[in-house]
Amino acid sequence: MGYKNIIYEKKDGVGYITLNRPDKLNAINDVLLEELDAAFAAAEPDLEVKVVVVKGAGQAFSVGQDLSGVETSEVLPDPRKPVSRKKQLEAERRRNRRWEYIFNLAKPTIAQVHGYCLGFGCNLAMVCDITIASEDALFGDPSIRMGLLSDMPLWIWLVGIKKTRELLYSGRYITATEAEQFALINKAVPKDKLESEVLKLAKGISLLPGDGLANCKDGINSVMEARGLGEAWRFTNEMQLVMQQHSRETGEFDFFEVREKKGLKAAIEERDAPFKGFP
Amino acid sequence: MKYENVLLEIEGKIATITLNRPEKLNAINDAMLREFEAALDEVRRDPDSLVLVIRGAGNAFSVGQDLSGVGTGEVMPPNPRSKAYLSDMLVGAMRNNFRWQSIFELHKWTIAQVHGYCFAAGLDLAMSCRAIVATEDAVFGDPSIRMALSSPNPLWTYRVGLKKTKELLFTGKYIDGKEAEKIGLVMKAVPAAKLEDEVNLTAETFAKSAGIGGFDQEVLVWATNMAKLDLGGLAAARRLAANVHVLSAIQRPGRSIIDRGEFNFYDIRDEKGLNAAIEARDAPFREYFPQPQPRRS
Repeated sequence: MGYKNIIYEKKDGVGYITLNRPDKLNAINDVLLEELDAAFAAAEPDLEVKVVVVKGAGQAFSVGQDLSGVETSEVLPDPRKPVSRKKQLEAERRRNRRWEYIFNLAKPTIAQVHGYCLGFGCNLAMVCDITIASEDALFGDPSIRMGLLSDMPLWIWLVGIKKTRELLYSGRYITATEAEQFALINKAVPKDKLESEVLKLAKGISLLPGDGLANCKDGINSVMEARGLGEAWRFTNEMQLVMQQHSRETGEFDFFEVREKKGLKAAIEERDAPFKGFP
Repeated sequence: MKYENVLLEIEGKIATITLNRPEKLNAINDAMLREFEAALDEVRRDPDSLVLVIRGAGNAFSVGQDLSGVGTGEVMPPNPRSKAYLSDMLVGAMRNNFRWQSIFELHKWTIAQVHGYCFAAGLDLAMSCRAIVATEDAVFGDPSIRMALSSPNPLWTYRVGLKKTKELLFTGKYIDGKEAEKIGLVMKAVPAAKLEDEVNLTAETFAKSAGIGGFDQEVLVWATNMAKLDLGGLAAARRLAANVHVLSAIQRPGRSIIDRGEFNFYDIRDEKGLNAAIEARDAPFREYFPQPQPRRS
């Protein structure tokens, strides 16, 4: 398959998926999402690939969902567009399955993160098994500032309930060093060491038996299922859907309105401006 | 009961079980398991001891399962080429988990006093204690994946979180006591000379706090915590982790990685001996994951 918004390569037992919309800081639109699914599906049965590395081209890992409204009906449905309940539910199930599929891919996955890692981008880094980031990376999910919810239940297990609340209630970003402290990621490394660190890790893992790795991952993930993650995917998605559909009250910030009137940049600026006080 | 492979001392409120195969770095074989279980039972039934310290004699806490293949029917999965019964393996895995569970749920404070190596089953044992106090140069890890096995221990994600669990178990890499403290695997890492004092202080503190308001109250608090953990998934997690471990251990001839020409621990052990097999297992990974060594005193 020819890819447009990602690059998929294989080298020495390692598969590389590179998000490739550098001019948009790898904002995830419908096409990118579809190609991401396809690349993971290609890597999973491929015996030449022992471990998958996910990274971003250009200045960032990914700023998250493409908020432009162009070819984004899957990643960011416009709440003002009437869609049948059935269609909404179907879309939610798809989202749900997508993160679960990557989380349960029968191979180890490593997220190599630099620059912004927000929203969907952060979700992607979270569902990967291991996350290594450069010290300049910023993590967060500003969904709440647009009246939306995160659809990622892993927050609570990774950083604990208090930190999850702090981060998702405020939508604030944290540095890679903080993220390491909170166990959101495995390790923060200097920017010039990021690639070599990830390569070392991936090479080391690629020497291991693939069957064993699949089993090992299944063992760990099944413990997470027992800890409630299975139900949590569903609950989180349903809440996300409810929030997505709520109508904005008069005077309440409406991202979609502002975007239509003043453009994307202005809408994001207006979204974040009131919160500049956060570190 | 007379013990050989473990030592049991009970002094006042503090009981101590010492793993005692120092010449084998306290590798756990079937005989040691039987004695450990018996000693644990004695401690359980002794109303005066409120704290149990578990430690290793000689240069290490424990290198984990005895991989020699002699007297290891229960601790070590059989050579996949031998036609092991699945039912035997499942029973073995469940017994294994019940054993660690019986330490985890012991109604007394348990402290693992760790120095030197603490690997695989040795680490499962230490992790099942309520607290680990270790030397800064102790070495922790579970290299099971390097033999294509998944860990049967469900406590990993609870102890160090999901990301670190995967990093450690997907690579089989080793970390020192300081890093283990940083990621929350170890309660406290201290210089080697201070280990015993630190453990004694911790044990006495626990014994004292268990005495405030009566030991029974402490037991009730613990029982409540256990119920919360089981509701939080631990009960099912024990079974799932054991099942997946067995799945990883039955790599049937003709359908396994071994037959695809990958590393076979059992063959190398039978040809060249145990040390050579362990070296062959770990050597390829040193380039990628530096292996800390305990300082020899």
